[in-house]
Amino acid sequence: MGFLRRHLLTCRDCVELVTEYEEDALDDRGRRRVERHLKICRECTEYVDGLRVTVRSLDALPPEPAEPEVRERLLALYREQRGA
Amino acid sequence: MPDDHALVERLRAGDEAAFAELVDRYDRQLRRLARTFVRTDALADEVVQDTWLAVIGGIDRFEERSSLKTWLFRILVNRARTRAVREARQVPFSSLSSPEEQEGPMVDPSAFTSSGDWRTPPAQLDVEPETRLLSRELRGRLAEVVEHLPEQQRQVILLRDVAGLDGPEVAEALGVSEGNQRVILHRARTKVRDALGTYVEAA
Repeated sequence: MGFLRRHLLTCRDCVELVTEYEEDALDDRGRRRVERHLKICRECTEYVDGLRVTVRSLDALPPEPAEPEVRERLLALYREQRGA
Repeated sequence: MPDDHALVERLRAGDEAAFAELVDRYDRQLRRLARTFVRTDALADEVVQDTWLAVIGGIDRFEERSSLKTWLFRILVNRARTRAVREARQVPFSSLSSPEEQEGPMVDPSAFTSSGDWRTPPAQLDVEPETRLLSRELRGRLAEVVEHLPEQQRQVILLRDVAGLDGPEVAEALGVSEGNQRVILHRARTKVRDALGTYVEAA
């Protein structure tokens, strides 16, 4: 990636790198560049905060109850094998 | 996981309400995910049935090193992949849709000017301060947004961010490199974030 040879990241560069950054897949230099950019860029910080809250929220999706026939069938199986 | 442990104990003790809770929480997601691995709804149903049977039979052996959710989804992925391989007419996943290219920009280029600055500031997503999660309204939209992702992106984001599987195991499950898996994840996450942002700004 040629843009990594430039000294400073653009916002577009920063967003492109953000998942690698979060996954610790950047080398030290790449990581410092992203951190430096985020420190001075309110817009990218907003974008990355939004990404993070989205990822956290994916872990906490509201449940959608199973189809009643499916639930009944599975409960019957459970009862059969483990019923108290 | 503290919440998990109580549920696990109840499941082991034969508590039907506990199992009903688990089914309500995850059955639909398991079904959708199974459907991305096999060719028909009927096959997906079988995969999910096998998964639940394995959960019922295996709960005593669950060591609680991962969350219950991750364990459940791992079983599903194993069952789904085994089933996909067994199906004589199964086409390898990578040839159903072209694999994500690792080259090229991964973000929507129209969001930035030619010098790489934001055209307009990114949308602010509504967050609940107590939970640090998206507002109820946005969380309600989240599942729908994920459902509209291209299939491979949907698979990766479900496995990584919903189910909690790690990068290497998702790469293996999909038959792609870890780097490629990360590119797919990046595209999925940014697409979802952007879709929510569009929704917020349209309101």
